[in-house]
Amino acid sequence: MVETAAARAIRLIDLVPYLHNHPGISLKEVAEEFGVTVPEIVKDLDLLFMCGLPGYTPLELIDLSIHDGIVSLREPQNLDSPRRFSQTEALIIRVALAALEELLPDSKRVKVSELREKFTRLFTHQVPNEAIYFESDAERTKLRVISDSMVQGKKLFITYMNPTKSQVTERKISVTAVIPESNRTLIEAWCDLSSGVRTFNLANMKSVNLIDEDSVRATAMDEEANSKATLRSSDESRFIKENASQLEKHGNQILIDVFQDEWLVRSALAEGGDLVVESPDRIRSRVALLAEESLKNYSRNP
Amino acid sequence: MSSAKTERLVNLTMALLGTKRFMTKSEIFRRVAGYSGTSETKERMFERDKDDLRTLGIEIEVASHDPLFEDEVGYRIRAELFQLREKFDSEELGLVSLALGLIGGSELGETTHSLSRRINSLAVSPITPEEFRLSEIDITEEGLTELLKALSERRSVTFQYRKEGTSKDEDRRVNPLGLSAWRGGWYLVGEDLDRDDVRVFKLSRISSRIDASSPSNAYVIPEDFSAKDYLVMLKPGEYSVAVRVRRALALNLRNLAETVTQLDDDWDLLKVNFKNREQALREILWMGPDAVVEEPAELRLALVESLKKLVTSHG
Repeated sequence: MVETAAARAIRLIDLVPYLHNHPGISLKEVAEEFGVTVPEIVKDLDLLFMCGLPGYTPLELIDLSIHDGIVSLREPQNLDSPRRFSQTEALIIRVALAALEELLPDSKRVKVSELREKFTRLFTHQVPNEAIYFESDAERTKLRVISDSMVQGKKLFITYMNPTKSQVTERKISVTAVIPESNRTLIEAWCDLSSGVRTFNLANMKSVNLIDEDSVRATAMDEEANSKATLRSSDESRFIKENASQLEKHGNQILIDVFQDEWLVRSALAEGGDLVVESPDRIRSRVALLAEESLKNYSRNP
Repeated sequence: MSSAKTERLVNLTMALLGTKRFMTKSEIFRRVAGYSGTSETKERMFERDKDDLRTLGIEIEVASHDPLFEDEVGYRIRAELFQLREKFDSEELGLVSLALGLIGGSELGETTHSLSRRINSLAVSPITPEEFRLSEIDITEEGLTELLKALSERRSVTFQYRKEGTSKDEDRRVNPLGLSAWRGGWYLVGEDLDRDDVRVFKLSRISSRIDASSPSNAYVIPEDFSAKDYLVMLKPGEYSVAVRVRRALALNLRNLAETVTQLDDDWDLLKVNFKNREQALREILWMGPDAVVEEPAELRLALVESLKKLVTSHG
């Protein structure tokens, strides 16, 4: 795509405050930040060097230099601050903040909520704060974060409500298994707070966040943990779309890490034949068994 | 594209930003670098440059320079409208960066990158809270970008909409009041101009391009408007199913159920309203032999069909 002169002018205008605030930055970093190549950035800087305020004497021009791949901007003239957010851009920031607020634990939400109101007040007060509302499919979001933690081998920070004691605790846990039961989903994990393996009900986890701490390796990994399953499915299936980030594709075959047999068994059932588990045999035959038993329910009572 | 034009656009922006009083066209031609040729050429150049800058979102103020000579209009760019002068502390900037990163992979990605660059250009350096590694969330939905723009500029929109349970497209004229991600879907809450009522529209049911070419600032959104108030009134489902489940099992189905009747020592009968047939099929298949559909007959057939497929493909 050919870049228009106007689009390039905006990049030049944005470059000045960026360089102004990053003294001694390398050409490579600037190019990365602006999504163009180093030669393109050099051309941009050469052009900026000739721009300035009416008069165009050295006193009025933008002044910069490049030495050994390092850029120094000495004089930004009147382009020292970044462009203001347009109303649409401010609204996008509000959507992003609303999404962030939804993902954070309660104790961290206040700050984000205040910031969201600040953006409303400063840039888009004609669109009231509550006109943008974000509420995710809570269970699904939590499950995704949990599976991310297992894939990346990182701990989770959870806010957990103990319904019998009706108290709320904050814990760091290392998940070892997700156990989908028919009436609830259980999370088995090593809990730092209790120094032992505990089972948590997903519904009672008020918030779930990934933290940058390696998870405690489970001492007794059973054979099913971390095995791979081979699947066959169309790209259109719901399961494939929802789990895309965890799949490895090899031609028609799709590989997925299995942390919990029953979860994959039930997922295959729910897809009603659009998702086929080819291996391992234990999962494949369990899907067939449950489907056969279900069919009996219908033949007995036509 | 010639770099001469890029250079001229930057110079024009800087000149209009640097002037306190309005600059007339003749002043611009005389003082801003890059305008040359016959007066007609210069005139055409300037008109195009002005349009280009406006398309890029740069507001150029136009005013009569001197009340006695109304034909001599002047131009300037107001710094407080062009540049970010508001103060943010490094923690606030860090949270904005984190939030933008969260939705950076979606269709808004290009805008969020430009926004992040500008956040990073503020004199204060953002401090991103290190403790959380958030998973990216996918907020992509067709029409979202257009509706965000229309809402922010308060433009009426028209589109074709396919109501749940129908196969016919209807024309809708709507004043957008709010947008919401709600339990896995995106919704527009807006004033339906033909029905004279506030309605909720699911974005995935909008079947045409969204036309937002009407003028901006066309209406005012009440200050106490809350999108949530309208979303919670959405009916959960239209697809009614009678399903037999084993006692003490299938809590997720029980939570959705309108009524629960005990049949015998082993089974309860639930009446459940699902969103649609696909959802019903999925939820019931998930339960395996612990849930049996009684009605409607077509769902029983679909279920038996799916189960046979499962047995064949996994046998």
